[in-house]
Amino acid sequence: MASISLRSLVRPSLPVAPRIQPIIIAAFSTTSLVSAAAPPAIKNRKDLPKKTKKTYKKKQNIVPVKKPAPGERKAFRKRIQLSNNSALPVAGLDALEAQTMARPESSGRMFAVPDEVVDQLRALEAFKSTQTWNLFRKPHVLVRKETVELMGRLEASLEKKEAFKCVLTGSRLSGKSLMLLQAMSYALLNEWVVIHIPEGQDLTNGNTEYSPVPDTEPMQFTQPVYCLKLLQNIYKANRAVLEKTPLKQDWSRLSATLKPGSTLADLALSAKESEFAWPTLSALWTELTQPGQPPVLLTLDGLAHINKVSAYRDPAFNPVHAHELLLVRTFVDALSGKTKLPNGGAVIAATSQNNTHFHPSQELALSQLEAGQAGKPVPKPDPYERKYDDRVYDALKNSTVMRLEGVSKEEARVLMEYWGASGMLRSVLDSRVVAEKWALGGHGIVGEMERASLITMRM
Amino acid sequence: MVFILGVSFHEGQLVKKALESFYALGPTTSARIMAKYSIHNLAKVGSLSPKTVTSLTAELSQMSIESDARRQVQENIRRLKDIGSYRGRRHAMGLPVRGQRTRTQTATANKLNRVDRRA
Amino acid sequence: MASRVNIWGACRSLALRPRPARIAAQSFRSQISSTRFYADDATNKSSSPPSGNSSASGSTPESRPGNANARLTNELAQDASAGTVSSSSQARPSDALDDAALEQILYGGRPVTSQREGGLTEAQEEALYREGVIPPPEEAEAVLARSEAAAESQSIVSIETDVQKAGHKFGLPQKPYPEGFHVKKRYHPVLEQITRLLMRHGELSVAQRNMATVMNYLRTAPAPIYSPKFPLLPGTPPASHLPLNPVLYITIAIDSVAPLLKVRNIAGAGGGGRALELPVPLAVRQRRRMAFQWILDVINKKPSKGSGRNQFAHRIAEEIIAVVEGRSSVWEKRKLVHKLGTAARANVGSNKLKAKKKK
Repeated sequence: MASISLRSLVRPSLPVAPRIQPIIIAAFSTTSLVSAAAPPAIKNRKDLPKKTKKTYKKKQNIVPVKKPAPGERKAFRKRIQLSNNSALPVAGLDALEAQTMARPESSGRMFAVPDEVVDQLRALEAFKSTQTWNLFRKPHVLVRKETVELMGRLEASLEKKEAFKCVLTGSRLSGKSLMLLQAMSYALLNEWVVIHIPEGQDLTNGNTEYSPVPDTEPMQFTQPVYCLKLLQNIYKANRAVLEKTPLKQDWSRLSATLKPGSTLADLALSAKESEFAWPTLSALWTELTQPGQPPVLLTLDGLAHINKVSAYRDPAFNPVHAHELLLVRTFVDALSGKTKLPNGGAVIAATSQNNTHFHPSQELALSQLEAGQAGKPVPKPDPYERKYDDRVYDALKNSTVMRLEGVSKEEARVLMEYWGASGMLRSVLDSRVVAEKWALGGHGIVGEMERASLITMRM
Repeated sequence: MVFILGVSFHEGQLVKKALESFYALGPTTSARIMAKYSIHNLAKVGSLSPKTVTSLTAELSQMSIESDARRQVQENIRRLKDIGSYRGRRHAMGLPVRGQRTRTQTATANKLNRVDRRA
Repeated sequence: MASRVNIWGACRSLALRPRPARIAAQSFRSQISSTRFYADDATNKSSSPPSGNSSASGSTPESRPGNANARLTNELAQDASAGTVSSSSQARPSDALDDAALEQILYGGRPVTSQREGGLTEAQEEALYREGVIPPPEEAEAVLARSEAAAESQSIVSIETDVQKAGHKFGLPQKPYPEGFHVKKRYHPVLEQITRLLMRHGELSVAQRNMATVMNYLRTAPAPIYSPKFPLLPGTPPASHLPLNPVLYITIAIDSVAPLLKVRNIAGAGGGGRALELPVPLAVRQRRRMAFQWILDVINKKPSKGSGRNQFAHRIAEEIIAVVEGRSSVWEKRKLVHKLGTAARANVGSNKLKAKKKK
């Protein structure tokens, strides 16, 4: 009240006539500036009145959706389905037997993969989600000319007591991974021990645990978690063979359960923790390379990834070459012939065209080997290329290169007849259709033929 | 829950992210620390062994991160202010320091530039 | 309305007959009128002679693409085993039906599967894709034979014309063209329509890939279990036949939930400023479009279950299976539309409409 009365005293409340010029009332005021309520001082830009942002977004009534559990989506994406109950069972096709694929007369025929082998292959992760197993009633494979050749070499390695070292290469979708699968099923049927590394990339992209091995120069690394999983897969797939084979050396330092009379299966099972996975795996490998043990098939898919500098770093922050990873080194030593396989067996690596990078030294080494095999002039290295890696050449120099391209028209016909018998190919099968799909599939590239005839809107 | 340098992290968090959550510890430093203890890129905090966690804590306590790093920055600014330089004055006024325009677009300077800088 | 239907039918049956070889002499306009589109006017009928049409229309009730009325009467004939449609030629079909019968036709009461053990004949499948109904095999054969004959007569004409090869270095290709010859008719017509409906942002090849994935999903999924509550098209083959023929699978699903009519609101014709609700029959393509839009609506509201680029296709395939198994909410939409159409059927040919037209 007091302030109001005070103001009425000091400020003459004259009726102000409308004027053109605005007048500043304060100028007529006789009050001191101090008595007016001062606005908050603007000392800083902070003190400026803040604008509030208006949101024009409508608030929708969002219905809460139950999200999939962690890992569920990936599992859905990576799921491998090996049978389709809607497809028609194909009658009249034989199942694979021990020597079927090595015989020349089975070239160009389809064979069913026996159920127990399917289970073993699944344990080895030989099937891929990108392959079209899910369309057919049962897994069947086409034995091609190259298959017979490869299996013949595998058979010969047993007599020579020497490892057959091979690199599978060829166009995209030409069946390199499937050839690995066939080699594995041959080995499983013949009671070999099969070790399969399903994706070379997994070892070198820095996504699995690694730990340095002390007192090595340059420093080497083990991959404990991966090795444990690999060991379990080896046990699951080769259980019958491993249980029959006794140990040759004394491995009681690894585990107390390993007595002199125990088998390879006991050795594989003795690793329960990832810390002991690599010592156990290397012990198993040492055992398998002793004379008198069963022959071994060692396979790897995605060769380019294990020939590069890996994504790992050593404690001094230097990049680690993939060959310094002990699991990779084991494979590379076997492929280069440094580790002998005295019981026969094979080491097969497949290149990948889908998931790969350009690798000049590997390309050069493979092309040189291929030219050498064919007796053609050996290609020279590019003098302007600085990134050649001698270790890659050393790793590959003793191996055979097998190039896979399209299947012949007869083989294509057999394959398409199988598709038709399964009810997956609805059109009439004549030589015209076969020739058409064969041509559409880049002269018989199997994957492209599948795309042109199975995974299409035209059926 | 895993404690690194007194801060608790969820088990499922990436080690890389956990390290980079400290002030003044960026991608380069975190990559070097992880290489030093052989921790791979996708390692989760929960998968570290207790020994590694302790050595990580020891390592981090040696470095000037968090409050040390903040104090360093503040000291640098205070020095500029104390010697009466133009840059010190601009810091004090909360204006751009390095000759940028002030007519528009000074939000970052508004936010950051002051004598006792926090972030 | 019904009388108009019959005349149309007559015209069409005439147009489909094998023509004399001297067809080239005919004008371009009359050739076009041989295939009648839904949008075509009824005035086209004058182009063909009216001889003998009454008997033809009375004896063979033909259901053609675009003539849902004919399909209605056809179904009625099947259900009531009346055998003749002559009754409907005297009165409007909507008048001749009582509520129960109409409800029977519109939603429910159809036989779940055909009596025949096996699947569809090729002619039946053709008829399904073209007309959206599954005729008995004999009728389908007859229609197919007629259309083939028509095509043949046309091909004779074309051969005659390309005798003169003057000016062509390699000559013109021989007719009839082989399958898949025409770039724009490379895919199945039903798939073609659906693919374009599920296309997003104009990316046709992505839509085609999705469609291929849908079909592969349907091929690998177990055979559906039909629900007696939501019967599919009459004459649907047994469930075990569907997975191996994904095109048939999709067509059955879509044609079964497709609405037979839509209700058009004619502004101000209802009296008192109200709109007049007029049920209008839909053509096959329109029906399919409506049904697939409904399916897409459901899909877009569903959360994705996995990750990767096949998720959209998987959701579509799952919804198609759900439709066939009667689990889908699309059936409700169909029911709603049909209920509305039944309620408003008195408005067909109403005087108010004529009054409006005069104004």
